[in-house]
Amino acid sequence: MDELASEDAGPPPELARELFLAFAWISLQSFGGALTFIERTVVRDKRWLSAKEFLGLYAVSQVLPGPTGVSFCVLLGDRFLGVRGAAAALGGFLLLPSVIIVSVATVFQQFQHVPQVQGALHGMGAASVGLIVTTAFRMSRTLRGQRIGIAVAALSFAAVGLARLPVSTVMLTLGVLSVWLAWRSRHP
Amino acid sequence: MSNTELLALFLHFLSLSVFATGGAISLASDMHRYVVDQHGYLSHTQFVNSIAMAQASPGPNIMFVTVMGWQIAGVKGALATTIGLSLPALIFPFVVSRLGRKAQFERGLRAMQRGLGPVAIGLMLSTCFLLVRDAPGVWKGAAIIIATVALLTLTRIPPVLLIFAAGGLGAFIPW
Repeated sequence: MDELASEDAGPPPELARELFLAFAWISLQSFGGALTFIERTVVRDKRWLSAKEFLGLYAVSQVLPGPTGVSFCVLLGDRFLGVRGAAAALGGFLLLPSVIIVSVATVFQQFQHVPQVQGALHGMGAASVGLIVTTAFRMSRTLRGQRIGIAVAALSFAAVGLARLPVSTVMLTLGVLSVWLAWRSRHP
Repeated sequence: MSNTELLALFLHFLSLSVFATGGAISLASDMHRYVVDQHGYLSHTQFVNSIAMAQASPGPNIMFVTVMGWQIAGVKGALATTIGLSLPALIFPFVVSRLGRKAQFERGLRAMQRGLGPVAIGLMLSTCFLLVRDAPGVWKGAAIIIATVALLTLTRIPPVLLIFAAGGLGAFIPW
């Protein structure tokens, strides 16, 4: 990525089909988060965006309401080919994985009374929890040295994890406060 | 499931999505409150199974929401949860693209990133807390969780291989 970071993007996709296929390919490679695979395809292989453009678009997707990957597909597709492009990228991104996951779930449901299948699901579930815990640790490390950030994260955990308050309540109070503090801190 | 309940499920996921920051999995704690604790549409095990199956299959993270909906009410349920969670992401990007990028926009974007980051971390920790506390098989589940965290932190093994390995292991030990 470093080598290519200074390079400009190549020609944009001309057909909605290209977007559909590219995002279908991304989705089929994506285990545990699509970010790496989106970057690899869109920046390195297809060169539809420069590394800098990618990061900018990704930052917007992260902040916009809704899942980041979905927002990114819509932003990228719309940027090149309008609504048709957005639909193509999103269709590619969600269609095959949905079919696969429902097939997997159907198979598991068929055999759920078999003790080994239930045991396999327990094992997979525990490993998935381990994966989520690792991600949470990695995210938490970015807070090092930020006193306000640590306080906000602790409050957010106390409210949702311990007091079981709705996420909406926490976002409208703590979230708004935290964004306001961040807004002010750049321009005292 | 009645159409009213289906609509309520859709609206709940829609309302969650508006506040989504830092990935769908950080909302799992709130989803659990709705589909397991309040309405009993799924058992805790089925809820965790949705996450496990999604992690073991290719696709974006939000697929656990699709399989959750499917377990609740088949194809209609899958559409209700998936579209509910995605709908804002189908609308806001078009609006933002057409606003143009002004300096104030960049500043607001950075403030939102920096301000919402810590809140998202708290939500992720809430999800962890919920899932670890009720892990299956008490110490067996805990052992697999700890082993997974250690292996992911210390080695570069692809996560999906660990999921499959834990599945294989789980099939052969008594729970």
